[in-house]
Amino acid sequence: MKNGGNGVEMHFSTKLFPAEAILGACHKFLAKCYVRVDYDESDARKIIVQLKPKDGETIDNLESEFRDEALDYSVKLKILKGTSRVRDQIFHIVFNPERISLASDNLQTELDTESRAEVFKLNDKMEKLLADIEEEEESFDYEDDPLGIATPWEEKYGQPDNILDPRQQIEDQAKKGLVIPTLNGEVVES
Amino acid sequence: MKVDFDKRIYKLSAVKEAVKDYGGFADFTISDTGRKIDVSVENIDYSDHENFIDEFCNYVIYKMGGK
Repeated sequence: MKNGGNGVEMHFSTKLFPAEAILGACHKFLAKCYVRVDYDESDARKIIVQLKPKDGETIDNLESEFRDEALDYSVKLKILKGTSRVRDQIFHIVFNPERISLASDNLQTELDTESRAEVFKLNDKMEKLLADIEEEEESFDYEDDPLGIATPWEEKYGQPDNILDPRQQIEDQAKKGLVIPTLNGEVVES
Repeated sequence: MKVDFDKRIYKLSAVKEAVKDYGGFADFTISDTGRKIDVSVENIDYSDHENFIDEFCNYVIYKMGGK
């Protein structure tokens, strides 16, 4: 691939920088550059990267930034490959079906024993509460009225002084023009 | 205009996906020539053809991100 001027061209040895690492670094520069990656036609062990800054972007430090990024990706990939076996073993241990099955069985047993104990405790508490309630109920008679709820108002506080006869009330309201006395009179009469 | 992608770096699926997404702006023809994937671009519906090709190449790299 050829790229028009105004850019930077870099050559990377595939021995040090695998194509994946170069591509990863390119991915990071997509926002500010037009990127082209290709193998060197004269030397298959070299990758050529061409960067052309987009409008508003400068070419300053572009090469050094890209080289840093490529190196970073290359190291990451090497670590990733070097630790793949250990990672696989960890996953195997953690997600081993036999181990998971055994662990779940143990957990179920633990839960069962714990929940049984909890149920027994709850039953004891419930029985005690019921016994207390029964005791309290036995000590009271339903005819007892300790708070005086069943006592009528008049017995407690006596008759109000300003209580009016219904006819007197209608007459008072008629004087104020609030009711028609003839109509209300019939109602009171009935 | 023609642009080629080395198969040791690019995957055909990524190029195909990019062509599919850019299909509305130009006519693309993909041909597999052994070591390279050749993409021929014609009838570009954009004034700056070179810029269009640059954007397309960037998009192919972007598509390689998920591969």
